Amino acid sequence: MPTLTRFDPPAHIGDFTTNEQRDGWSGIVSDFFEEGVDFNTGFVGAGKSQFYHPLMTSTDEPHDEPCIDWPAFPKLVKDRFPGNAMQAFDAAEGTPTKRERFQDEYLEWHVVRNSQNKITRVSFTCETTQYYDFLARTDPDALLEIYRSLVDPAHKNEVVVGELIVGGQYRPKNKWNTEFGAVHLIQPNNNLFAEVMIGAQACILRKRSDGAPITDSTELIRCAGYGEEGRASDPKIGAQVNARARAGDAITLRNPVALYITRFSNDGINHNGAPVPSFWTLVRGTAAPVGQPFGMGLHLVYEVPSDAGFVVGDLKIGNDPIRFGGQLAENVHVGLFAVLTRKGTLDNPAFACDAVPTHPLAAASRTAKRSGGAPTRVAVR
Amino acid sequence: MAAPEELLDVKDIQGNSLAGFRKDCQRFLFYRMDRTADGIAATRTWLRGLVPDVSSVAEVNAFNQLFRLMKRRTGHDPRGLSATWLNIAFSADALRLLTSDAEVDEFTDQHFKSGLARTATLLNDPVDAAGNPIGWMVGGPVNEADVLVIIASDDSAQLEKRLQRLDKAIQQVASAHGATPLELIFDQTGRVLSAPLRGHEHFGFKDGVSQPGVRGFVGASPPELLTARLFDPSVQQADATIPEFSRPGQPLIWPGQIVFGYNRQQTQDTRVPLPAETLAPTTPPWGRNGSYVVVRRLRQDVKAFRMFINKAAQELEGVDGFSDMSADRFAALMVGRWPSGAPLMRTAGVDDPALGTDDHASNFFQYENDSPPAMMLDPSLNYSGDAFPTSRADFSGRQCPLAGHIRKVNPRDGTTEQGNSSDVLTRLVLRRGIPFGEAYDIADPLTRDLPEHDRGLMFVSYQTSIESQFVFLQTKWVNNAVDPNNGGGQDPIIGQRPENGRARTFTVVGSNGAPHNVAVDAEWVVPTGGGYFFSPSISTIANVLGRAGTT
Repeated sequence: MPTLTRFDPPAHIGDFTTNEQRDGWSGIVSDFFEEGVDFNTGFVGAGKSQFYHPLMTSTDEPHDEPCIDWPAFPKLVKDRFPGNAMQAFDAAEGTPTKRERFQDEYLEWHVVRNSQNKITRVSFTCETTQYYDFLARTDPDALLEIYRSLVDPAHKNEVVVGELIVGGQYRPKNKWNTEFGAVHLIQPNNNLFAEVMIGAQACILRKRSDGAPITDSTELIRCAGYGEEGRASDPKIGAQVNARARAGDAITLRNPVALYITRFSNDGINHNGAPVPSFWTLVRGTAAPVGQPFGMGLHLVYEVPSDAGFVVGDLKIGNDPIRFGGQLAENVHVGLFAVLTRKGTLDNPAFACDAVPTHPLAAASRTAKRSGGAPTRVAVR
Repeated sequence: MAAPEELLDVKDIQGNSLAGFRKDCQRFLFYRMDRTADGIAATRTWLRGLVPDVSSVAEVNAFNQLFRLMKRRTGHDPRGLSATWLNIAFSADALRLLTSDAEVDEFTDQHFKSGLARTATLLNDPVDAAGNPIGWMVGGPVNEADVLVIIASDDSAQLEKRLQRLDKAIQQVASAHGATPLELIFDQTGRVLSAPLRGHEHFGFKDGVSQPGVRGFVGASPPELLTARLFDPSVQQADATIPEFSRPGQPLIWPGQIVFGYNRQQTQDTRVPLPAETLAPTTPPWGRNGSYVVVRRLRQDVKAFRMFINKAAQELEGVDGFSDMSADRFAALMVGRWPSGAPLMRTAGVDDPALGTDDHASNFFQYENDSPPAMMLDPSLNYSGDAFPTSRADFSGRQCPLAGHIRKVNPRDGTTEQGNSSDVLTRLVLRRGIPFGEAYDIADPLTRDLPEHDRGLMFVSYQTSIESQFVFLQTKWVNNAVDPNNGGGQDPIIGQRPENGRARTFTVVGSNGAPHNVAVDAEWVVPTGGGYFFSPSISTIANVLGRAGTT
């Protein structure tokens, strides 16, 4: 595979109409990769970063494109209520504040209920603010159109661009992305920069004070500080990437770089005990190819067809009536796609947990100024 | 350094949970309660009379210790040393009859309150169009049990006597109350298989090798631990980033994972518990010292299993990287161990019975990291040392398939979809299963071909969350083609899959490093019954469930 010429929009989605847009988006993503490479270079020196920028460095054959994914329901919330899943589901949703505070596994959702307070529709997003901010700056009409396609359908014609872009600035937490829908992620840690930087930071090999390599996921995340150890996502990304870095691979993220809804299942969903067909609809992104487990979903909806005679809230998972969107989030996985190449060819030293980037590039890098040794993703308590 | 361990109320906790009956003969008696007021009163009376017969952890553990001590001295099972144990557990419906809806609603585990039959769809068990499990001998929609009594003995005659005493007590209560408290709706005998399959399940693999070690003391003065620590006490397990082990390959977990009322395991620091007093209640107050019991009657079709491994091995022989495949090796790939119990992670090419029978070595391995050197054991054990090859990191499943049964249900040091590897410890259960039915003898058609030779495993597990332990293991890992090990297919031994004609996928990796998917188009472990129960403390049986004067 030659060097990439451009980062494509998530899931190759066709929102962009001009090459200026395509180049503009690619530039944003490219900046994140530059920071990631700078971070690594600060440790290992110029030309030795195992994390590479695919616009500048080729992906050689053979290469692999493993998916790294995790369950979408926030693990930090689940673990607060051991043995009481319903309390966890209740705690994670219901208000935009709860969503912003707790839905931190790169998936957020919005629930629509009917007059009997039964759920009629749940929509899930893993799209980033960065993407919608870019759309707002480059094509407000497309932004409006996408919003209208994703918010609660009962209100879709009420969306106006003036409530999305105010004073020339895009407002991510506008009411259509909070009260009336989950168009894109708003939890502060759920962003594209974090995704890229966790991958980049995890490429640094780590060692204990006695020189022994650090391989355990918890110990790695504590040492490298690339996220919150109680989540499912951060330790998994970090441990999987670091394992490949220890094996000497060159590592990057697959184009198009984004968070994706990789899997969603119908497991256990039933109506009065009887299995039901899948009522999932992937409204943005691409489903898994036939015979493959992982897709590049961006926006997913669970809704029963209007002629079915029942609604989502009449269904059960196991024997539990669906009372919360989080119960359905349990059937959803979110993840990213890595690229592994030049396997086993790199041999960088391991660094202590208190090591700081020393290479000259690091001093000038935005990473050093912006994120330095600080965690990429932090807990929002 | 681990936090201090608690003193367990071992005289109040029923014995099969933390100590384990470990008996060759067991009877699983499934009863239906008389739901009339007279019937419920009769049940209470019967329960009060039963209390002295309910075996505690204190008793069962003391016997097990004595048994071990004598075996270590003599080198064989002690002759003449026998005991007969009894434990009892109740469905949520039974507890509603004996207490109140409000009290039972304080159990937060929805699966327990729903019952096994109504969650069969979730478990991917074979169900009819209405979602009811098909062909269950007990625990289906028309034959759910309210009460489970387990009687276990070293001596089948003793077991029979205890059973007669139990029947007699029920009859006496029936006479006194004019109502029969309980109707026996299903009776399953479990029996350890005879040599050469002793300690093995019907497919021929050694069973029960891997169990977590539960923390806590069974005695305060002198202090006596429930789970013996076999490492040399002069050598500290200082690496606090990994679990503390009681013996090679046996991680320690906090007792609240198995019995209510004690510190629980947390998902980040394996050695620091979630203190019981800081957790919101998940049972009524009388749930303390109790456990959930999951029972699954799993029929094993040994003939189908053997036919499949022969067919799969033959097909694989023609695939690059698998020229040395044999039926035995393919079966071992599906299980993750060889029949002797030797783990593939330590001997991938051939069974090593010496490793399989070495209790200090057969469970000492990891999957994603190179195994550390074997730790020194307590010199009093006179162990000559573990000189077997240690396990090496195996990300791709080349040594042990990612969906191999033992890797699916316990990924050990693996980074699962749940994030850090410490999460694995929160999923573990204590297994107390035993085979049922006659062994399959390949040389004797009478033991292998007749339909009445129904054989399998009574799967029994103890835990404090059916949802995040048993059900999680079955639905999120065993039945899942990707989790917890980033691929590999479904567990080919106990995995269930409703789609694709119930065929599962199992990925094996050849000597050339190339993965190959095998379609597992036959089923050999079929659920045929079971139930979700609560095993209360002995004091709860006496003072809450059996209390006199209540209706």
